[in-house]
Amino acid sequence: MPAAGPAELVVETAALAPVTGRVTVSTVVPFQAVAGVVQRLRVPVVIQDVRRPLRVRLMLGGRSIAGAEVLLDPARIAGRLVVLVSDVRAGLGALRRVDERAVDAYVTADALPSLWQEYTGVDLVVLRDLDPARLSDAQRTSLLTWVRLGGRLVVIARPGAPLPAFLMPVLPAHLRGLAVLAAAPELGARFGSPAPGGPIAAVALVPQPGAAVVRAGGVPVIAGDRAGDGYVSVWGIDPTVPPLAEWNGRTRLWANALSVPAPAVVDASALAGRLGVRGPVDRFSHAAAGLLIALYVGGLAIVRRRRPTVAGAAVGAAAAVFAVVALTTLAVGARARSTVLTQVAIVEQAPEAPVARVLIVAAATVPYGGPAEVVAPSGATAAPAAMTGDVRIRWRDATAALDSVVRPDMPWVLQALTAVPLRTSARFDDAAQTLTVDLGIAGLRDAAVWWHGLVRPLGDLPAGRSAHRVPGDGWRRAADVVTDDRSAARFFRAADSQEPGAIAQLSRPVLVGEWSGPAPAFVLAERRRVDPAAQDVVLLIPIDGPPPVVRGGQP
Amino acid sequence: MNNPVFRGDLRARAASRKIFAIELFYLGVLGVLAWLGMPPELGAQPAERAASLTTALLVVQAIIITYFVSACASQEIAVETEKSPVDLVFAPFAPRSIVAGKSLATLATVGYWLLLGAPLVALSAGIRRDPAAGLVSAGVLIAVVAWSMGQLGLWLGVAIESEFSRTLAHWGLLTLVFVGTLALPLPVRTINPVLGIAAAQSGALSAAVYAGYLVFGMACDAGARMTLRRYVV
Repeated sequence: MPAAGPAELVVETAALAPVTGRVTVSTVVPFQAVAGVVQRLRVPVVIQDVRRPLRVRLMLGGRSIAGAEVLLDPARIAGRLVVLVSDVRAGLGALRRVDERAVDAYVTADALPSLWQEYTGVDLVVLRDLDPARLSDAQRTSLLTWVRLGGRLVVIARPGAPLPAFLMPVLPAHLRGLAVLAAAPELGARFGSPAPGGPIAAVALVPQPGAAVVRAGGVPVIAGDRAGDGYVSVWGIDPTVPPLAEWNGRTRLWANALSVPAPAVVDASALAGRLGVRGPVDRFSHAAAGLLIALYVGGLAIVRRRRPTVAGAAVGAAAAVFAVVALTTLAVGARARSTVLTQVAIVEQAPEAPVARVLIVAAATVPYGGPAEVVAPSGATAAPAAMTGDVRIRWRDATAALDSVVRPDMPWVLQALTAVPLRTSARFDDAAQTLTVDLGIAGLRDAAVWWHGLVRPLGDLPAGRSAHRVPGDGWRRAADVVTDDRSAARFFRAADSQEPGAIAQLSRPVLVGEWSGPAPAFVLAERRRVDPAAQDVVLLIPIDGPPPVVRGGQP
Repeated sequence: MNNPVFRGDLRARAASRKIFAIELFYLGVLGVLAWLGMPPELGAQPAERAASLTTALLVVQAIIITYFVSACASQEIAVETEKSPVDLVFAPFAPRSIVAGKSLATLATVGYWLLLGAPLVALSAGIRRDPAAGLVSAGVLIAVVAWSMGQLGLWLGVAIESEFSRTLAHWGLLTLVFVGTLALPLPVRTINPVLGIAAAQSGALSAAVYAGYLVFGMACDAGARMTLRRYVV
């Protein structure tokens, strides 16, 4: 930096708004500049229109001192993105044969994100040459959180190098030691192409119980298992280097690792339409304003008529100053009472992991229009869900504050993604007749089991641990349930449809209900508190055990 | 404050029933507009609509203040007990003193009326969170426009003896400023007070517009002074 002082890094992205045309989303990170020092800043940016360049500006003391335009290479815009942490920028050539939309990215450890949300566009992370000592605590936590919330991770074990200790809670295997494979016929049988002749340097694994294992020459060389909502594999073989780098079977190996992305349970853009946005009209303020205006004009008339002098005019001026204060106070109060933030938080418990993914969608209704500022929960990434005008996202520590000029005739819709520590669970017994639920500190209202397009209402469930009979009758079609605009089920309706969305395609049953526990939320900057009446919190808990029994046959 | 013409005009205007009626009319119009503009407009609005109700209120304020200030200065509205510049020359006061006093009286009237209207503008701006800096800029523009038109009225009052011709010229020039300037090409068109107020509110108005009206007002002052000298024996 050329000088010291308060500085800002501003990243501007262009977006298209349906009503107002082209708009700009500016992400601002303030920092204290130190003269002569190179400072690295991380700026989380959601790119709305990849065809337009990003404009980066450096502000120092309110003055722009440097700027650049960053154009995105269309070839690097991925349908599916695989990130390989490796010292060698090679080995992912087979990806194009797996999925022609797949794009590889070779990075070093310091490029890994500090926020788990920054992995959102990543389909697979492969750790090959990772020195854990080069990762910060935030980078370790974000990788672990991402995996537990649905990320897919492959760790390639290198001879002589231990697996990263911070990943131990999610790794499906640990290392036994170096193995030299003379032949690996099992790999050929498993992945559809004979493996090259030996010797093949490998690391023998010791799989965890329940992990899926692939052996080569009788030695476990691949182990994979679920970790929360994600999936982690440890490979004792390295398909990025010879002799396996030329093996045709690596295509299927990578295809298995990449898998098919799971659908999002809810569609953020559809959630906004289900919020039931309300904008109260403050009639009291209108009446009070009318009274104050009449008092002001009438009082002024009386004073000026009784004292038609310069002194009388001075009294009038004093009355005007007083009236400015009174009417401004009234106006600010009326605006605050009329501005409403309606929101829903969809909390998805990661199975068998102490964390939940939270998607928040909020609609700010500002009946008088004009500038509005909304603060996202700490640690959440936030962005407008629908464009209506220019937006400025200002980061301070781990909190984003969004401000925009809001139109009076349409709500300003925002979304945020975050994670919260949470450990709730649900499990069917072996007969699939009794559901044991552990809800922790808060109960679940209007709970129901959702499974393959069917819904079994359970009523209200208490906080803590409880068991509930779930007989085979009483199931309803999800298509009937989601049409009820007063129940939380409406949030699972597909966009522009009356049918249930991705929730009907989940592979396992889930327990769903309105949760009364604390959930992160947007707040209006001028109020700094959440209106519980304008907030829905929906909790989804994956159900373990056998699938439920449905009278009349399984779906 | 040492100017006797200024002191005399202030006393006359403070005591005038006509000025009192103008103030009531002005506050009544602004009050009704501010109150009727309070309920939010929840219906769909066209995307190109940029002006807020506060801007509309400021424009109405500018039109009323500018008209009445210049009408009083040109004696189209004769304020009770207020002496015309020509009468004051025979009082006898120096033309410089007369023009300075009348100019200050106009400025004080403009400022006072802006202050009286401020609570109603504050109500409209506060409920829509219109930026205060924009309101101040627009207020300054209204003051500058109204004062310069007042000085034009002063000159017309001195230069044109016929009441009808003076009124005609006054209305013609006001129409030229408020309507005729709309025909100018951009960016000169922003000298139109209506467009200027919107631009001032958004912080986009050039300082040259303020300066232009100030220079115009001072030129009218000079014209009035030179014309008054004709009456000095």
